[in-house]
Amino acid sequence: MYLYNRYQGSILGMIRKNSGSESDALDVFQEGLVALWTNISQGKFKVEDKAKISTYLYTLCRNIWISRLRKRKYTQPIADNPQVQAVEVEEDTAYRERVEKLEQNFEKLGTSCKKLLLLFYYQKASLQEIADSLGLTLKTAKNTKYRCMKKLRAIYKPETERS
Amino acid sequence: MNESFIEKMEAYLEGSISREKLQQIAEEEGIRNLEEELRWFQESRVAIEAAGLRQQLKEVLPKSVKKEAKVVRLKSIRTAMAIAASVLLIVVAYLGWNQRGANRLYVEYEYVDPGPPALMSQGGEYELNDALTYYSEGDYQSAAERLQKIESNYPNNDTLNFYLGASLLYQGQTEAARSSLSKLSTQANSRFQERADWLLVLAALREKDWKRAQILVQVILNEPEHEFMDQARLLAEDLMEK
Repeated sequence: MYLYNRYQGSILGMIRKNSGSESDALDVFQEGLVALWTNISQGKFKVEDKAKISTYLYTLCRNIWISRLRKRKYTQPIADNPQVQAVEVEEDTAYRERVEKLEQNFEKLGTSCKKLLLLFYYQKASLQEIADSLGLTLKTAKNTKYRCMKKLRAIYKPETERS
Repeated sequence: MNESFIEKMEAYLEGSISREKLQQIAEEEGIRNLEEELRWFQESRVAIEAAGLRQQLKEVLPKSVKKEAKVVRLKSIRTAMAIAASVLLIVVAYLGWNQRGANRLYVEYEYVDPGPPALMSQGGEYELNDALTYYSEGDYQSAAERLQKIESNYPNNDTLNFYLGASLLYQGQTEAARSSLSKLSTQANSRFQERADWLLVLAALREKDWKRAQILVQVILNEPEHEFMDQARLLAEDLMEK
């Protein structure tokens, strides 16, 4: 919420100026935060560099919006927010597409798998904590985590074979 | 790739073991392409984290709503957040109940349809949309009751049949769910057909009717472009053990 309150104004302004609605802005802002997260985990953006987080996030959202406008066949040059200077953002499109595909694969898993993997990899809960919260034994939690990862790998394999 | 190797990749990414050590373990395990395994694993972790973040953002950020397409008008962001919190509580309560009441395969392969994306309040379909709003909020009992009440007004309506079947299935009423979902097989080109195919598989899993589940999975496997092909392929392997 802090990030939203702090930065939504400049992003909303930029998107409104460029044929977007409030709903588009919210959607792009969310995508921008996810992109910021993946760029941090990829080491492309360092959290210590606090002075640039606003412009970095603004640029990510700007790029996402430009890409959506292109899909809508909108060809006008983008009008920027004069108060924010967009920065150069190193974009690895292939990486981003692979992660997006893997996220779609993850969404195909069953509820129980998704819940367990989110607890482990996103919430960083230990297997013992997961076992306790899901009412499982430690061994079952461990086995289930493995089965879920195996499923995720199995979904990925046929797709790479198909491509 | 076995359980221990996943743990070793985790240890390597956390810096607990060296690349050489991981390479040595991979060779012992007969893993030929360590580079590819590592890339898949690392990117999968990022994807899971991105999914978690996206889920959390959906709960925290104010929701944008299409004013013309709402049955329930949201008065403020606070109201929206309160509703989101209630929905979350219902989902958590439902999941908790579901974990206890259903069998392992059902839980592993469960698909919960989120409901129609936008509900129109205009026209004479208020009752149908009202029921679907309950469905989208995760109140499957109220949704099913309302849909059953108006069922005769909408003969062969695939939206009604699908969401009635889903509401019944999520409450564990598998036989009634099957009856509604099966009607979709006679409705050509329904956009709900493939989801209904999968819910019918889930109904069989819930009843532990493995034979029926195998037959229904085979139906999906025979359609190469089926939306649930990946899940069906995995489930077919699991059903072989039954």
